Amino acid sequence: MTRRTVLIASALSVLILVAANLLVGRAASNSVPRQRMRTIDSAGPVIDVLGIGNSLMATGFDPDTVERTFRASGRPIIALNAGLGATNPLEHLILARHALRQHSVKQLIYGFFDQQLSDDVPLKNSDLIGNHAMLYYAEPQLAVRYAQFSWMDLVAFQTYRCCAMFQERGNIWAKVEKMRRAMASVGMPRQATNQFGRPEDFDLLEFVSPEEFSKRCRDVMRAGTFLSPPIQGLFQEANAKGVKITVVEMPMHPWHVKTFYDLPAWEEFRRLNRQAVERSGAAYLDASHWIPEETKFQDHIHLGPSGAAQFSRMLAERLIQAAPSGVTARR
Amino acid sequence: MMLQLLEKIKSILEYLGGVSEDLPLESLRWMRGPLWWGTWWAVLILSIVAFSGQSSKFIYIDF
Repeated sequence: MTRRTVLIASALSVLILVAANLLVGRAASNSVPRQRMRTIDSAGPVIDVLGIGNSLMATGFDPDTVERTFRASGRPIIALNAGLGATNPLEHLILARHALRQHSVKQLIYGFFDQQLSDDVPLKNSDLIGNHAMLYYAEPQLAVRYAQFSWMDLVAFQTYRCCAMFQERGNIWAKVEKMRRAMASVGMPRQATNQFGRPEDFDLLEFVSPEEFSKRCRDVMRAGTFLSPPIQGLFQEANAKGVKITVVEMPMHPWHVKTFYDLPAWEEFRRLNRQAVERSGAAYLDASHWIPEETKFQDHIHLGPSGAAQFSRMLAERLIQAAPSGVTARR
Repeated sequence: MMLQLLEKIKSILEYLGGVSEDLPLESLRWMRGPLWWGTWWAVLILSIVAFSGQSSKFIYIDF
């Protein structure tokens, strides 16, 4: 191969990669985090009840039911679900800041499960796939501040920020994964899927045993780190804007409740966790036992539509009781 | 017949992989040009981006 051939071929490769990068960027312009931020943007100037959290909140908080319940008590409100699946408190902080910057938020509902409030796992650049990819483009300075990157991950993070093909690699992988699943399902019995994929995959997110779960509770209690820095940041931002915060222990599948939440370690953890939340100026609401019917869940973790409606109605009733006239805002 | 075909495929793959610089078939002359090599390298890089590096236990997809 001549030197000229190599040079022209290299230039052509770069050209094709630049075009592919533009295409990926364009395809990702409607990614789930961007959709969520646009949903927040499109709300009116006042959001009375803002739901923030991961997929439990995304599927469990039904703003229509919340609005309907408030309306039935003679108080029309605007409720908005900014829950985003497969995210951590860091993304929740960014979404909350996004909402607080542009809107007057009256009440923030933060849904969590297990030890999510205290989980402060250092991130690696390779972890930032799927919805975590929003850390590349939505307030990346917060990712740098909170993620505890090693210097190599920091360099990779800053490098990936310049290329949509790297930032949104999770979108490409998701398409490849869908193709793999479609090919694997040829000639096989149809597998059940829900909004987030295969329900059995979410079993992988559960603790392997009650002993492991209790150990994690004890570790957090020993360290006393109930609220991770991003959660503390979220509470501080909300408190500074005068937003009432309610931290909700989300309804869990009866199996999860029986296996983990009935353990003495969780009882003790919950008591201390609640104290930590209340010390930071937020209210704590235990809704973990609110939905005892298995049929109202779509997998071991997420509520189905009927469960979400029931939870949201009960939540709205509690909010009305807790603040007989404080939550609403006239438009 | 089959053996010859396999030999041809092997020599084409060797040419594509850079093991050999000899074009296996005269009818594949167009593979000598920079247009082909530029496209081929870009396809390889894009394939790597699409198919490698997945580190999670399962790819969480928001359907």
